[in-house]
Amino acid sequence: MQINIPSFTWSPYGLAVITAVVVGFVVALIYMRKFGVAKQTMIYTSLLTLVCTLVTSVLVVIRITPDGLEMGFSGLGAAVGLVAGIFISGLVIKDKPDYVMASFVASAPLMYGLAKFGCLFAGCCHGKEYTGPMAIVYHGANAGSYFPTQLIDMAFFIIVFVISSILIFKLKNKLKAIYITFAMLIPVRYALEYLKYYHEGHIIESGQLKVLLAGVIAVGLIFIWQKVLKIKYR
Amino acid sequence: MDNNNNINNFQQPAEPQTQPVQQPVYQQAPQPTYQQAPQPVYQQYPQYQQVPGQYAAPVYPVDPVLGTPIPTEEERIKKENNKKGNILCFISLGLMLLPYISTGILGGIVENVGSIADSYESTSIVSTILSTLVGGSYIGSWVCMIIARVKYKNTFSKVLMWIYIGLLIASVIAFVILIAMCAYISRECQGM
Repeated sequence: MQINIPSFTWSPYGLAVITAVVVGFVVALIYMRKFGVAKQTMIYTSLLTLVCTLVTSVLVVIRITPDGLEMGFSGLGAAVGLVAGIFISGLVIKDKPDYVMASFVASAPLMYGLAKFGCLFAGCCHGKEYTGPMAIVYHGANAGSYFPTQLIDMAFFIIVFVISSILIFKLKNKLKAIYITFAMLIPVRYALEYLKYYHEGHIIESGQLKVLLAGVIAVGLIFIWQKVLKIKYR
Repeated sequence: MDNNNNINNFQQPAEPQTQPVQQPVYQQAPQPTYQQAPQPVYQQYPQYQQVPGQYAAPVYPVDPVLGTPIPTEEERIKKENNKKGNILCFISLGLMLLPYISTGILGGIVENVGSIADSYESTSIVSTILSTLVGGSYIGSWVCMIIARVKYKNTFSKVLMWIYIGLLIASVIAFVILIAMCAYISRECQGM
């Protein structure tokens, strides 16, 4: 069985990414509400985090090339922006910062997983050439039959979302849940790079270096945030 | 004829002379003199004025020089907070407008660098630095507005917040439409 992706006149990429971000933020808001976070904290943290997520996501990708302006959204940029946004919000509104961070970190894999719908329709981040079952066949710019990397990405990130959601509600130590979520996210994202069309089979390549760099920045920011806000669990 | 003469010759009886009645003369009674009772001295409590159609409104102490009511401690703090909030809002507005104001200058720099160096790398580096500055100032403007909103709760910050939300929604829609039109994204998203 093959999955045929038609050639779109209007790329649904942007709409799919924005919808994924909105869904992720709604889930984070639901989690914060369940944790009893104040309404003011929820509104202002979400606003600032949304701005930071979108701006960093776009800034990482946008560049001038010999062919013109290149733009889009970067998942790794979004992850760093999300953590930075919550960090800044935590400094301004010191209300249950660990619960707020846990809610957003848990919903981040869902955002990433759903945003892959955009990649699936646009044809970017596709897999290596493949003609077996579940192969994705494009008829537009990237015409060809490829391994369903985007679907696998989606499935893995939604599994990570489910596990992290259980963790943040089950564990009393929210910091532990946050670090465990990152400990799952970074290796999964690193491993999935092997399936991409641009990966040439080396142990580490530029795409994977970017994943490690973004992971280190995000975890580093969380560590600083924890120290600055003096969040401790006994 | 005789009868007529008789009538004419009739003498009227003389009127009896009466003595004029004397009006009673009253002597003005002396005015009673009252001794002024000493006024009671009450302790000064805040007075209330009855405003028609309203409940009593407190009368605040008035500044003897300016003639204006002296603000209470609460009002003074509110005024001070409002002032601080307004300063933050102006900084926020400045940061938000900075990219728009400097667009021409930045565009000129990018073009010049492109023509002088004539290399993709140098143009790319300059554009990356500039876009980072623009993004940084945009995030900075939001941070300032939210600090004003959370800490000082002034009206200006509320107005700014709604303007920024409107601008954010408009720019997201514009960006989505732009991507949909260009379909450039399918070119490359390595490591994203």
